[in-house]
Formats: sequence, structure tokens, C-alpha cells
Amino acid sequence: MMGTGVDGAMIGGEAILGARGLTKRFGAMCAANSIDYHLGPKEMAGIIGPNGAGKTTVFNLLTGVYAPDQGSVFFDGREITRLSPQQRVKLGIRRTFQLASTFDNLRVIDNLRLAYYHKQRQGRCSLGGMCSADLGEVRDESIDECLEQLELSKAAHLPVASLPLGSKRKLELAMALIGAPRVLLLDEPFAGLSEMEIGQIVAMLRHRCTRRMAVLIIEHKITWLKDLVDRISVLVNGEIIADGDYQTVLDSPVTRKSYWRVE
Amino acid sequence: MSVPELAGTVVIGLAMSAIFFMLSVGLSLSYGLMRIVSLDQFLYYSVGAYMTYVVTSQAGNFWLGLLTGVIASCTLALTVEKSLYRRIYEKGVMFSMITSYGVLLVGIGAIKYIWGLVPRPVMTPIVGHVSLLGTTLPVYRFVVIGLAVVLYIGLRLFLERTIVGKAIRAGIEDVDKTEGLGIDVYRIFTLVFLLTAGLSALAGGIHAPLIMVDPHMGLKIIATAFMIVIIGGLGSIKGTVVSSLLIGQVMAFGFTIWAPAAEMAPFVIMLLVFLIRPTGLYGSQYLRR
Amino acid sequence: MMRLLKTYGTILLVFAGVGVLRLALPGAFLIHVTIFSIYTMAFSFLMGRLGLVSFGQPAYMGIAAYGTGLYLHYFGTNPLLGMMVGIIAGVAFAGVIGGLFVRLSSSYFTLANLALCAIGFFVFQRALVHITRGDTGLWYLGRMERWPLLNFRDPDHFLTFALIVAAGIWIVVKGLDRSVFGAACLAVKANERKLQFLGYNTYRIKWLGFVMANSIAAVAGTLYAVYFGFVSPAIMDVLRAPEVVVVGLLGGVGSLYGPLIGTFVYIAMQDLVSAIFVYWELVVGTMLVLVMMAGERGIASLLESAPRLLRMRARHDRSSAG
Ligand SMILES: Nc1ncnc2c1ncn2[C@@H]1O[C@H](COP(=O)(O)OP(=O)(O)OP(=O)(O)O)[C@@H](O)[C@H]1O
Ligand SMILES: [Mg+2]
Repeated sequence: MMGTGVDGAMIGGEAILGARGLTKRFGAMCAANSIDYHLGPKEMAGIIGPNGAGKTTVFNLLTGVYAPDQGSVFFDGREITRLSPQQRVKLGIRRTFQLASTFDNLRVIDNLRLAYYHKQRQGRCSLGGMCSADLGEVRDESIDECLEQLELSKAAHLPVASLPLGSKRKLELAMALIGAPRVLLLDEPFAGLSEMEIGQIVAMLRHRCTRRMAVLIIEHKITWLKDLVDRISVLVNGEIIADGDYQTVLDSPVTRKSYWRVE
Repeated sequence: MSVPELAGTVVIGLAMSAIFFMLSVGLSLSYGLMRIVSLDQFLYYSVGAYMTYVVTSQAGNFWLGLLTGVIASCTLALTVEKSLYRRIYEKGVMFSMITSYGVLLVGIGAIKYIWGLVPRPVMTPIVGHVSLLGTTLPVYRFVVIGLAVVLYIGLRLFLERTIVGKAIRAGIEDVDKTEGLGIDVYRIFTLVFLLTAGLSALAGGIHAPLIMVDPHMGLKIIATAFMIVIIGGLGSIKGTVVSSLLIGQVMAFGFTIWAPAAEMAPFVIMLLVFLIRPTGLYGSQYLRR
Repeated sequence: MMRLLKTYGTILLVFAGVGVLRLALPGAFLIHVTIFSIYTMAFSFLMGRLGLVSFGQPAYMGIAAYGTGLYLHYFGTNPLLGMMVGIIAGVAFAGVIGGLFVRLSSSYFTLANLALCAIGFFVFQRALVHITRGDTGLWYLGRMERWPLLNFRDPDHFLTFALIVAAGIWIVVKGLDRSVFGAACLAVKANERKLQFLGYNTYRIKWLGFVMANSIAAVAGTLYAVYFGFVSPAIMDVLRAPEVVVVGLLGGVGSLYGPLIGTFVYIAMQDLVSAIFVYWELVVGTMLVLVMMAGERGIASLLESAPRLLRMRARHDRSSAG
């Protein structure tokens, strides 16, 4: 049951993000092997898989970090395989990184301002405009709202370098959300966080994303995804070996064999 | 251009390639493995040349001088590695580059202090000539070329056949892999650093009879050496070989046509390579960091 | 107006302060400090704001100096026009080279700049020897026009002029630091990939940052050219490339006054120990290693963090006493 199309069950209509036959090799090793995948416009889905399964590689292919060796990527019905990461961002594909990626030499609020400024200037983000725009003047409710919801308001004027990992992950999520994406790709957003912080992020995702945009979450621990996502796919050795709702995947013999290695 | 002229130019170019190769292959290796750019190698190059000069002029034996140069440079390199690089490895390329430039400058200052500013000549150890395709060429150039070929083969065998060599290659792909093999990474780092220093010193000693030995000799060759490493692609031995050969020939032919062209040609080639591949001919885009 | 003064007033005060030092210090020293600090600002802008370390800064300064020098030697006599020519040459050069170089990863960038400097030196010393007259250099001190209010051969006039230029540059840099562009530059330094994924074209940001930084270097080059009334390939010597790295790191890269402080300390030291500076490589090299080993934070950041450290110490004392 390689990469089920889930055609009928697509939440919210036609797929917004899709991959067909996506393949990427690093030397002899095949990090993604002919992957077919579709994500509904308002769907929240998860990808699980062991270390080195190729999960991050799939994200990199979808967002344009790597060009695939074979196969293609679709967005909203058009092919985007050859678009640069930046062009894909313009279409509304946003992601976070496995290693929490923020600008550590800037203040928390300035991170968000940079994210917001681009969104505000969509398409006309000229160098001249950037030089003459005062960073302090970049203000918006959505920035304050994000800070509030993730309990970062107090840290707003601190440099990011001084924040703990949990706050960095929250900040990175906020930066992605401020861009008002249509598809949000999260690479292990819960890794290294406390239960409380995970709770905050889950609440934020429920509040801001459910039924509003498509979300794809990579996670190691399937339990965190249980109540959050509509669908889970299992990626092993660069191939999707199972796909379906939480219980189906959990019970599937293929998963049990090659993921949990139980008979 | 007549056949004799052509043959002469090619041989001169190959001899240049040989020296460039010795000087740059270590730089490329140590970037690949340790993620450092070690500018102090040009100090070991100068030290190799100066020791060769001293021993050749005092004891009259060039080859003994070469050996002395290599030993002296390796000792110096070991000291620098133990005292400075141990703290640098973790800190990234920029850090190593700036710090090692400091070491290079200190070394140049010391050389000026000891030997003064005057360029010194070194006697060619082999004075014979051979005739080839209607032109006579000094035997020494062929010896230089032969030495580089031997070194290249030796290096390949070392990297492919020995356990340490395999560990080095694994480390170039992913340092964590070496750790997985249960090998002390820092021992390997030291080894590669010394190997690089030894090669640099050898290049210096071998080069000495072809040029004058002077305090700035390291700085004079620095740009060419790094252009070769860059054109080939940082971390790639194959790339270094190819670009050494390329630049050697281009410079040799440049000299026969218009001397300034020879100096500028590598730079133009580098710019052209950048237009097509910002990571050099054989450099990996996936090399992390 | 008041707001502008509040933002940029400190800069004016600082450079006015340097001018006042003229009462106690020789003009040549202060002029050298002013010009070199502009040059260091260029390096500091590149490294501290964009995270690009260049070992080829003399090239960008030298191109501009030669632009000015060639104009004043062969064509005109108006030093201000000469400066314009030099700056335009420097900016155009940086624009073209930047387009190629900023695509490179950091190691390649540094080394490519080193090569650029070596080649630049060679071009002006030998390849174009019939125009540049090689190591003899171009002389035009006597040719430059003099005006009653601005006479470049009068050290005090020149110092005033250089200080005004420097203050102007500092104001521009501070303005940029506060702009979205300034934040984007810092973001490129911290995590270029991430900025791309916010939708920014980091290539263009780096290009503009590069051109801005090297335009500042170009200003320093033309100032040297009109100050000495002479230009030779020595200005582009690869040997001198590390100097600005040392000074930049000494003062602390990325901070606003770091370049000024670093230059002041360095040149004062150079003058004081000029006896041993025959072997200046020894001194510069040792300093470079020491500054790096000390943690590359520079004097400016030490000064900035000193009050905080003292406060922490005080709090610590109080808590351990209590
Ligand atoms: N740039 C690269 N160059 C070479 N190999 C790579 C590269 N990126 C990934 N790989 C390899 O591809 C395989 C899949 O990597 P990937 O990062 O996609 O795994 P993952 O499922 O995200 O694992 P993890 O759970 O550890 O994040 C790994 O074996 C990895 O070593
Ligand atoms: Mg991953």
C-alpha cells in the first residue's frame, strides 16, 4: 500500500501539496525512494519514521532545498518541482527546521518583525524599501498576539540567544504562522521540549491551524500526534510503508514489522 | 609555436603542477576532514625552503636539506597543532583562517629576523639536461614531476588500503562516522595536519632551486595555491589534481605568450568556475557546514 | 529633527571629540586614525553584520585610490571630483565582484578575496605598468586645486574634512542598523537558510551589503589618495590585508564604535613601538592570535559589558554577604 492517494478522503477538497515518484539519492544511499504523497488543503497530517528514514529529506524536496533526482512536486494543481525555495514560500509553503532555526543575534520581537515585514510587503520587498523602513516601526497585532499566545511577551525584547530551546521552537512556529501560510511543514516541533511546552504548541496549532491550513508534522513519537492529526504516514528507508488514521497505522502489520520490529 | 617549444612549455607546466599539487592537496584534505583552512601551511612551505637553503649551503647536500626541512616543519606544525588547533577545530572555518594567518605572520616576522630580507639562491641538486623532441630540458624538472606522481600514488594507496586512510576518508564524509569506528578523531586530525605540513615543506624545498628563497615566498604562492584548491573544490583530492594540472599548463603557456597573463589566468579561471559551480569543479554541495 | 538629533547626536559628539583631541595630538596621527577607522568600518560591516570575512579588503580600497589617483594624475585637478571618480570606480567594482562572490560559501568567499587582492596588486604593479608607473606610483600632490576653505594640504582642513566624512558614514551605518535591511543582514549572518524560508532574497541582501561595505572601503581609499597626493601598489599589498582584520577584531566587529576604538589603540601602539615594528609581522601576527584566543570579542564589547559585569559582581557580593 505504497503512498495511498487517499483521493476520496482528502479533507477540504483536492490536494494542495502533492509529490509523485519523488526520489533523492545521496551517493549510493536512497534517502527518498519514489514517494507519492498528497496533503489536503485543510488537512493536518503526520509523518513518523525511525532515524535516517528520510523524513527531513522529503521536506527538503517539498520546499525546494534539494532538486529531486526523479519525480515531481505539485502545489494547488500546478507543478513546482523547479521553483526555488523562495518562490515556494511566496506560494504559501512555510516550514520549520529540525534544529530550531531562529536568528539568535536578534531580539525575539525583531525575529517576528522580519517575518511580518515580508508578509506585509508580499511581492514588493525591495532593497530600497528595506533600507528606509525602520525596524522599530514594523508593528502589527498579529505579532503581539503570537507573543501572547506562546507566552513570549516577557521575552520579547531579549536576544534569542538567551532563550531556552523550548522558547526558540515556539518562536520559530510563530514566525512561520505570521506568514499566514497555506501549507505548514513542521520538522520535529516537539523534540527536546517539556510536556508543558508541547501542550502550548499543540494548543497553538489547534487554535490557529486546524481547518484553516494544511499542516504536515514530522515526529518521532507517534503518541504526540494521536489527538492532533487526521492522518499518519510511516516512512522507512525512504519509502512510505503505511498510511491512514492513527489506529489503522498503529495496527498495520507492515508498520509493526518494519517500524517497531515486532512480529 | 614549434614542437620543441611546445614540449618545453608542457614540461615546465607539469613541474609547476607538481609543486602546486604538493602544496594544495594537504590544504584540501585538512579542509575536508577538519573543516579548517590552515594558512600556516605557507609558513611550513617557507621553513622547508629555508632549511633546504641552510643545509645545502652549509653541508652541500640538497636531499639532506629537504629532509631537514620536512622534519623541522613537522615539529613546528606539531607544536602549533597541539597548542592552538586543539582549541580551533570546534570553532569553525573562519576562526582557523584568521588565527592561522596570525601564525603565518609571526613566522614571516621570525624568518625576516633570522635571515633578513635578501632573497637567497639554492643550488639545483641535479644539473644534467635531457633532450626531448628537439629541446633540452633540465633533469631536475622531471625529478620534480616524478616525485609528485609517486606522492600521489602513495597518498591514494594510503587512503584506500590502510585502516587509518579509510578512517580519514570516512571522516571526510562524516566525522561522526570515524568516531563510530572507535578511532580517536583528534589523533587522526593531528596526523593529517602533520601530513599536510610535511607536504608543504617538501613543496617548499623542491621549489627552492627553481625560485629564490625569500621571507615572502609563502605569501607569493598563497593566492595561486588557494585558487587551485578553490577551482578543484575544497575537500576533493581529485579536484586538486585536475586543477593543479590545469593551472600549471595555463601558467606555463601564459608565460610564453604574455607574462602578466600567466599570473592573472588562474584568477580568471576561478571566476569562470564560480559562474558555473560556486563550490568548485569537484566540491560537494552537500558538504556540511 | 529633535528625534534625529537624539539618535545620531552621539556620533557627532564622538567625532567632534576626536577633532578636539587635535589640541593634544599631532594632526597626522588623527587623520590616519580617522581614515583607517573608516576602512575598518567596511571590514566590520562585512564581518559583523553580514558574517562575511574578507582577506582582500585592500583591493577594494586600492581600486578607489587608483580611480582618484589616475584622474588627478592624468585628467583633472579638482580633488573633490577625483574623490567622486574613485568612489564610483570602487562602487562599480564592488558591484560586479560582489555579484560573483556573495554566492560563495564563507570559506570560498574569504579565499577568493585573498586571491582578488593578490591579483589586484599584480595588475597595478606590473600588468598596467605603463599607466600606473608600477612601484614608482602616481604623484599629483602639487596638481590638486586648493580653495580658501578647503585646502587638502593643510592638515587641519583635511582632518576636519575627514571627520565630517567619517561622521556621515557612521550616521548612515547607524541608520542601516536600525532599518529592516540591517536586521536582515544580521539574520543572514545568523542563519541565511532561515531567512530564505521567510521569503527574502538573501542573495540580493548580501550583494547590497557587500557593495555598501566596500563603498565605505572606497571612501577610505580616496581619502588616502587625496591626503598623500600619491598612490602606489603598496596600498593593495596582500601583506597588509590582515591589518584591517586585526584592527577590526581588536575593536570588536559589528559594534558601532568598535572600528574607531580598535584603530585608535592599534595606531597608537604602532607609533609607540615603532622601533620593534621593523618586524611588524611579529607584532600583528601575535596580536591576531591573542585576540582570537581571547574570544574575538574586541575592546568595544568588553567596554559595553563591563558595567553589566560590575553590576553582576556587586549583586553576587551582596548575595554572598547576605
Ligand atoms: N545533505 C546530505 N548529504 C548526504 N547524505 C544526507 C544528506 N541529508 C541527508 N542525508 C542522509 O539521508 C538519510 C535520510 O536523512 P534524513 O535527514 O532525511 O532522515 P530523517 O528521517 O529526517 O532522520 P532523523 O529522524 O534523524 O531526523 C540519512 O541517512 C542521512 O545521512
Ligand atoms: Mg530529520
